Amino acid sequence: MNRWEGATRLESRNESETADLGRQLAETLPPGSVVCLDGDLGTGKTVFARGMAIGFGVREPVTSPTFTLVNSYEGRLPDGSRRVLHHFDLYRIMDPEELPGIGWDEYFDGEAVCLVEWPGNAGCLLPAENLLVRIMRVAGHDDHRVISVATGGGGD
Amino acid sequence: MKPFLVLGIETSCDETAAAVVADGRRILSNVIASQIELHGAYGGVVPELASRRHVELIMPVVEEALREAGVVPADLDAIAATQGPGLVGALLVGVSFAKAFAYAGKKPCVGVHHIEGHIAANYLAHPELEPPFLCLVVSGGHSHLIAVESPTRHRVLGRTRDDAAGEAFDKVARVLGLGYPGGPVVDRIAEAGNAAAFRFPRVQFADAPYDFSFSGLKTSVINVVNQLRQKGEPLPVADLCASFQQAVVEVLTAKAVRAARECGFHTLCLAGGVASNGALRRNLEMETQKNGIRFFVPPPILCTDNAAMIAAMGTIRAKAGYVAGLGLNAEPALTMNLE
Repeated sequence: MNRWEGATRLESRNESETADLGRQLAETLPPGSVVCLDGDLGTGKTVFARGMAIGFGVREPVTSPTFTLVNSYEGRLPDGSRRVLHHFDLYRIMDPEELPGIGWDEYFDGEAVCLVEWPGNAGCLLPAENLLVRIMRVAGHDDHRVISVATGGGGD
Repeated sequence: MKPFLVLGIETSCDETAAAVVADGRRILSNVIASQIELHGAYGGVVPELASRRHVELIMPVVEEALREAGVVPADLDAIAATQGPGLVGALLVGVSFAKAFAYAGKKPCVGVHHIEGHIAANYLAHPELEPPFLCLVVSGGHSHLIAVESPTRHRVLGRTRDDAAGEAFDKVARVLGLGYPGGPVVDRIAEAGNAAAFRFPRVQFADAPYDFSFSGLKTSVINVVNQLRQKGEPLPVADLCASFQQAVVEVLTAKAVRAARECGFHTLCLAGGVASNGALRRNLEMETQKNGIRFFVPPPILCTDNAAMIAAMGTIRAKAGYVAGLGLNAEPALTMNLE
């Protein structure tokens, strides 16, 4: 079955709209959610992640996790409850076998929300239930993006 | 008098490194795993990232560092390890090893902040250097402007809001098909290019004049590449490299020099992997000279991740009494000023 059937298609005209879509998505996510974030270099994945962090009430700046592979944040929701966000970037992962070395399994504890950039590099180690967000450029418009959100998971 | 000897250990990311430093200034050995011939002994190329690899490499690397220094464990005055920031699994290897080694030899153990280590590389390269000074730390994972107020007091004046400077080099290199790591190759190709061919953005923040942003610059380069490809035009790779590098170098230089002037620093140091970039060194040399600021930069071997810098910072911390107990833990998101 094609995962993109019935996917939600959103449009963004600039970075702040991309961040706002991230914030809106975060506000709908239950604890333990896994979000895969797909898109080429420079499409605004980290911008989207920053919006999600704002949605979780994270106060510190969200910087690129390319070098550290994962950055963790703790925010507070309007009702006062804690929300942990693990922001992965698997750009530098060449083989899923490298993931146990960074303690991969331990981050998916059913409570924290895990956001995974370059999810393809995790292969079959990606949790089967996940939300897939894809950011694509729009030809002819440097700042425009189409952001598609597909639910379900368990393979395309 | 017997020198104060510290064994430094660095495992925050890809390199497994150990070094022995005397009196916090003199390098007796500086071993980095990717440089020694372990491929044969360990059956293949040393892969990136896996902390399992750090586990396998840490013993031979430490032994090599002690042997080269002509030091036995009993001679050491302290053991220092990078405590953070970095990958938790990787950091844990160095921290756990340091604690066990210190416990077995009844030596003090010291945790060191990785960026403070990069700053301390300047003490190794320049024995006359003393705080206060300003330090620009730029690498694949960090872009910080730091006020070094005393050997143990570091205040962050500015930092990147998104991508690190070195990361922007790597990603632009990838888009241009130049391979990894991007810094050295972009630096080399840029020499043949026109730095004024493309005008890429230099980001300023009204509320934080010393903060950096390189994500938008990366995206601008990608946009230009996409536009050229759509038109079917050949990519002027050298001009793109030179123009991109010029934007990075100008921003780093302008903010560092401005911070030095506004905050009253007469000395500026450069540190971190991107400190090896030729254009950045030349530009900072020129601009600091114009502004009457002394400029220091370590040789490339001390700019990349290494353990001599950790031993140097560890010496300062050990002498200042910041000795950790066996509860010392890896802190992937460690903040500066471990006082």
